[in-house]
Amino acid sequence: MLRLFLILLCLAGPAVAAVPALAPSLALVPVAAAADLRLVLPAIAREYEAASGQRVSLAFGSSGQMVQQALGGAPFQLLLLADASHADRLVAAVPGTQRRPYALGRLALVSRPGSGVTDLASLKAAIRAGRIRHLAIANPAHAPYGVAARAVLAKLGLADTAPLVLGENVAQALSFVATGAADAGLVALPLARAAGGGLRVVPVPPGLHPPLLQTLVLMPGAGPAARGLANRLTGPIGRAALAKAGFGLP
Amino acid sequence: MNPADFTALKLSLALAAATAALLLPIALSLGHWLATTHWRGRPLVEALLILPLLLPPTVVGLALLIGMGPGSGIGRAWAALTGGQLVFSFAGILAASVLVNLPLMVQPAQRAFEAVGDDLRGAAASCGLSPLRAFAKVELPLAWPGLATGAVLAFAHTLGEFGVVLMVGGAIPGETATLSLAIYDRVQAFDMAGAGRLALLLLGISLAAITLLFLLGRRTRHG
Repeated sequence: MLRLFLILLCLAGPAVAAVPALAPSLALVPVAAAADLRLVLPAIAREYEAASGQRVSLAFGSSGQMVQQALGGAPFQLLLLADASHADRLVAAVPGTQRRPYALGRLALVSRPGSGVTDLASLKAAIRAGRIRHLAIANPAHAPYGVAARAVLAKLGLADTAPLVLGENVAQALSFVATGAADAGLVALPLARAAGGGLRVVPVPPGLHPPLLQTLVLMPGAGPAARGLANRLTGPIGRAALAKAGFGLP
Repeated sequence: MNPADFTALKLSLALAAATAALLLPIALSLGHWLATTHWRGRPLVEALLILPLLLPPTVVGLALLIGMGPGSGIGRAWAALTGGQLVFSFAGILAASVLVNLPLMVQPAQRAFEAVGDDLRGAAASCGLSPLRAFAKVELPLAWPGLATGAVLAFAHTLGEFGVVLMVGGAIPGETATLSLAIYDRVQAFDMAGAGRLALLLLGISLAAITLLFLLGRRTRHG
């Protein structure tokens, strides 16, 4: 018993000793970003770091989660949110914030090669025929891409018949299709393009859902590094990278 | 409380009860075997049984998502047997839940059977009891508190289970959308009052259910 306790103590020792070593990373400028930026933002941030000498740390998550955390005192200086309503909430609650749109989110239909789904018309036919067991979307209760996906399904007349499975965010919805658990999904185009794995990716016309006005929010305490990254994202370099990744531009 | 919350609550309770019920025979046999075997590979089996606690729900969830998917061997066998799919179904989250709770139920069962001791097992045998009768008449009554504790732990843990169900469930109402997921969705949608109400409800029901389980466990032990 004593020996077990001593072994556990030895294991805990280095971990405790390592805690102060975490402190320097706090010097990084914390940036929270919507999950659909996961593939394009790191490159933009790296180029910005190289050009400016500033350091930023990126945390990806769902827009709702990030706004919750910012309201709860998380030290984010810049938040990149997947729609305008989450920015509304943050701006209304925190005086001194600044906001501006930086991109338009776009949906894509992704499907497994064997599913027979090649476009929205064949998706509709497959769902009507019961050939689609599971269609993955992000949870419309809180995820902007889920709201957009549900609007598309309503336009197709599938609001009540689509066999939905809900991802906690749009990246999880895509992972349901990528792992083969779901046959098809309506997810963020910038994520879907990079998913690979032989998935078929078809962009959804933006007119089929309310615009996903991706909005950045600078918190009151935002320093020059956060402001510089925001400017780069909304400037020519950022716009080109976002457009290339599959975003629309405001 | 709206009908959707009620559905989620019923689902959570059903999942917790089914998990504990399915695990009881598994824990009984595995725990008894581990307590009595002299096989050299036993520590490895014990370590393997702890793995579900060790691995993050993300890892277990992803493995199950692929392992139970329609293209997997298990998924195909399930489809051939039932005509349905295992992922995103109640059966799917039940399988995940049984796996995750395995250590919580096997561990107390094993310790309980170990506490019975080889002396008593030998005494039962020398009294002419067959191994099966000795198990039913001597070992099981003595080991029952350990088994009951394991069942209560598995039940309670399943009521609060979040990560694995989030990973493999797909939040389908009445099928995989449990109460803990409903609470999470409320928080994500900034409905703190609704989330608080559901959390209180979960707390109250779980406390009542577990008190009842402890009560039943005690009664059976003495009776």
